Amino acid sequence: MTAPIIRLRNVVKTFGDFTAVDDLSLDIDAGELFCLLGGSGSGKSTLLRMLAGFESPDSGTIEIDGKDMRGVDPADRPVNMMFQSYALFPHMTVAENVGYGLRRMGLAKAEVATQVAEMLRLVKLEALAQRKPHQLSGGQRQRVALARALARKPKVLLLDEPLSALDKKLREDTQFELMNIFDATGTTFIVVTHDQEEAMVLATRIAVMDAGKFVQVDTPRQLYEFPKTRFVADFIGNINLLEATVTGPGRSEGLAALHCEALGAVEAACDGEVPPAGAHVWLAVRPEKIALSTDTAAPGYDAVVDDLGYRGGDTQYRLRTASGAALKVTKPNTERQGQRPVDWDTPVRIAFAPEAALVLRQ
Amino acid sequence: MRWVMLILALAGFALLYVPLLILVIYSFNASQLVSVWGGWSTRWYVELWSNEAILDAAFVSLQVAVLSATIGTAFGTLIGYVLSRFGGFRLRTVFTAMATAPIVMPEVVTGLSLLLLFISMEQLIGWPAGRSVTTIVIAHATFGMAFVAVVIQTRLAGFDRSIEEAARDLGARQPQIFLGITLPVIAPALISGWLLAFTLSLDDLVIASFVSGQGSSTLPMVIYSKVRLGVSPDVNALGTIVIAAVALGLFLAAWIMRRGDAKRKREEARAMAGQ
Repeated sequence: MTAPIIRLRNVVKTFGDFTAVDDLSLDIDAGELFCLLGGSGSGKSTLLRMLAGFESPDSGTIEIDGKDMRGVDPADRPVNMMFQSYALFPHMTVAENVGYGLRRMGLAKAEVATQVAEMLRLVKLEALAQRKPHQLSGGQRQRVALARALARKPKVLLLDEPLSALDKKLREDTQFELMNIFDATGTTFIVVTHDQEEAMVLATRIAVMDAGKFVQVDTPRQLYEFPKTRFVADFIGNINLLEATVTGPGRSEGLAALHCEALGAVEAACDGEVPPAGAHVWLAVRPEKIALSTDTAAPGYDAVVDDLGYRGGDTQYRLRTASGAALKVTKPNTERQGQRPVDWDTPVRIAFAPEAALVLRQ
Repeated sequence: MRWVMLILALAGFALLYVPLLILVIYSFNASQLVSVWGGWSTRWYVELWSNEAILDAAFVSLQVAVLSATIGTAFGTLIGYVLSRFGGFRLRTVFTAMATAPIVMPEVVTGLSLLLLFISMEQLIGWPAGRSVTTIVIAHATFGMAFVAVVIQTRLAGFDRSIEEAARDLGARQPQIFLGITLPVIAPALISGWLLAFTLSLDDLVIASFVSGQGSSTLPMVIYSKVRLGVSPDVNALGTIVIAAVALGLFLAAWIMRRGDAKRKREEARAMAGQ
């Protein structure tokens, strides 16, 4: 077991009477692509700026590569940052921008030129070395910023909303390009983002942040399939959350029997121990894990189609159950023809496996 | 409604430019008397060229303007930088107000106080010896500095600070960041601040009158003293030359800026289209 590249212990940062980062402890291993995911004001950017050294914690310690970073200037840290605005130097060419950090290290001219060329090859910008930033497109600027931050071969690369300034199509391509560069360099990446889809695609691990705290730190798959709280369940992807009361253990190990206002008697999986009977819980089911049938004799629960949204790849249905509760269901459109979406006001039956649903206590 | 606005606008422009036009026309007046038209002539321009007092004063003015604008820009830039960058130090608001006070201070007060300062300094440390070009330069630098500080502060307020942070992140120290990143980026503001200080120095009569000495009369001072003895037509010629110089300078500055802007816009559009 190698030592973590980043160790946070009880880190606190306040601005006036606003607590931006509230007693955070975390280890990040070398070679991770770690995402800090949260809304604005969740403390994710403050944490990143503390790692870069632009802010210092009020209390607690930050260790990078085994060294305490207290009082260490950003210029001397083994980390580099890619800024949200890219922060390219407007009066320098692409090559000069990328070489800036290398020149500060006192490298010889020829050595700087070689390494700059290598970096530009990595981000596929060799042809544009002599351009100024204003002569580049948004995507090209983003790659210059990435090359400049990687040029000093930092132990950790900090990326502040690296893709937020790009349009949707370009963002998807760039996500994969970013992962290729991550693989090629072997550097630890820490990405701050508010875009949960981006975090899911990129990260090996995600820390979901809210009000300066980590709500859950897990792999993307764990976060999606086994959210620990309603906040995480709702923040990552789409989900149906229904209030319910535990009536006892389920028919098999790890299941709980519930009474749910919206549906009636249901069973759902528990992450950990089955809560005692009478406990107030939430039933969480992802929309794509609910089967929808127009056969009114099918097993499951009654519902009526309230609204539907055809999205090409799938169709999202908004249903109303017999008790009047709203429920979201998505169905992939796997066939081109013949498969008609279920129409408005059609009575349907919905069903889901107990293992597909989750009991959340908080 | 439209023609009312048009007439008002034209009246405004007339108010600004008719006096100048009259001055230009009268500078070509052949008559010895200012208010009597005696036909076209360029004799006052010839006479001006042989008037050594005016040529000397023009040289003094130019010298003072260049020196004071340069000194004022150097100090004003530092003031503007410190006030907008080194955030929450004590009495920051007081310092900000104090840096801009010379702009609103009556010139008579500024002039008198500087004169008193120079006299006491001369008595105490023997410098500056008497009133000369040096004292005018110092006096002009003090108010030029205030204007430059305001220009720089305004520019830095709209400055993306993350580029300074990026430089720091890439291993640069404070002086390297200031000289290598901040200064080149705000260079246009520096140039316009310098031009502002230069123009204000050329323009100043009141402060210069207080702090100038023998043989260091500036152009406005010479013009003013000539006019007090009665307006002579060669002053009109001098005024016309000043107008021409200012117009040329404005035109050049605008042309250079527009050319750079247009080129930049073209290149940006091309880069975005080609992505």
